[in-house]
Amino acid sequence: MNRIQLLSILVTLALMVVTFELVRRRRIGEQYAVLWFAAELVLMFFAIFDNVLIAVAHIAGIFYPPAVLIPVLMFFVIALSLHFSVVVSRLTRENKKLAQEIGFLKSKVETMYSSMNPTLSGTHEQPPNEELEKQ
Amino acid sequence: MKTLIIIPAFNEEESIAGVIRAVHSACGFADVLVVDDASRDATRQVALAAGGNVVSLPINLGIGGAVQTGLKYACVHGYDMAIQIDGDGQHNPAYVPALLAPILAGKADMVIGSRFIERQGYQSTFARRGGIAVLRLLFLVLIGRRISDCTSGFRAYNRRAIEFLRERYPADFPEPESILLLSRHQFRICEIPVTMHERAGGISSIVGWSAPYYIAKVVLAVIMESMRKRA
Repeated sequence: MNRIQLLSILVTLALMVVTFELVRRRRIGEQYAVLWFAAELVLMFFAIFDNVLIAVAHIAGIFYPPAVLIPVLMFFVIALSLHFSVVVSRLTRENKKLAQEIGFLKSKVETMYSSMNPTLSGTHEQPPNEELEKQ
Repeated sequence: MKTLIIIPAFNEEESIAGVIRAVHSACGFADVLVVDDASRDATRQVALAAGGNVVSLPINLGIGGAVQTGLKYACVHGYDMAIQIDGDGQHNPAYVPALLAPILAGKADMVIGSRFIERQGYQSTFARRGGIAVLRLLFLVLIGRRISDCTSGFRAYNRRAIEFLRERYPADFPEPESILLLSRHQFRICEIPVTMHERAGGISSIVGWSAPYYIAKVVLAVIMESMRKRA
């Protein structure tokens, strides 16, 4: 085993431990960790079986075997980014819905509040939770 | 016929009171809903003081999310017709009855107030007219008909169109896209001539670098929509 192989195994292992810990501490949801683990497993596979890497390089006509890792890595980076775009779009949609619901509820609460407190009714009056919000 | 006038407003404290008063005097038969899109100025207070009903959004959703809020409100509260008027004073509420006429006559589901039919009043800047011309051509190809002012935010919907759009209203730069949506689902659209003013206050939502983005986004959205299956 040469030094570069040992180094790549250690780095990949560290990455896997970090991902594992983040999932264990619920900082990453399992559904988002799947792609990460897949990427790390592929990296680990190539780090351990470097003869596979050399074979793949030979088949693909890549002169320098470690360069095989670049397109592999690119694939996962792009896959992860696309996945995040999907997630962000969904969150945006849900966020919008929540904001609209809050807007409706707020105006309803204010109407009820002013009908319950006729002495306070006026256009500048605000329900008590507004003050909490500003703190 | 219950009619709701939806006024999306973002930082429009200078112009919103005038718009609400003009709406009240021009169409007293309609209710007014100001959708305050998380304005940082006194839009909300000014609108309430001017006698408008206000729904304030906790975070800025942009024009699409704000108008959609109005459409959802119209749906829930059983309105038969909804009119969208900008909060910046560009649109003259005196045209509202004319905008509603084709709907009341049962001839249209959506009516757009176009400034390019009689070509009077404020005609927008040269660059924007160019963008609108591009979109006009795109619409001609995609839906096979001429929409002279697809970016106009001065428009009226009947109940069927409101219900259709409440969950589908596009998020940003929604005006051209919503026309395409309705058109592809066999809603009847017509345009009537209006004259517009230059905005009385506030700033346009399309400035600087967002202009090329606007065109790219709208073109992409319009092409995507034309490739989707009709639900």
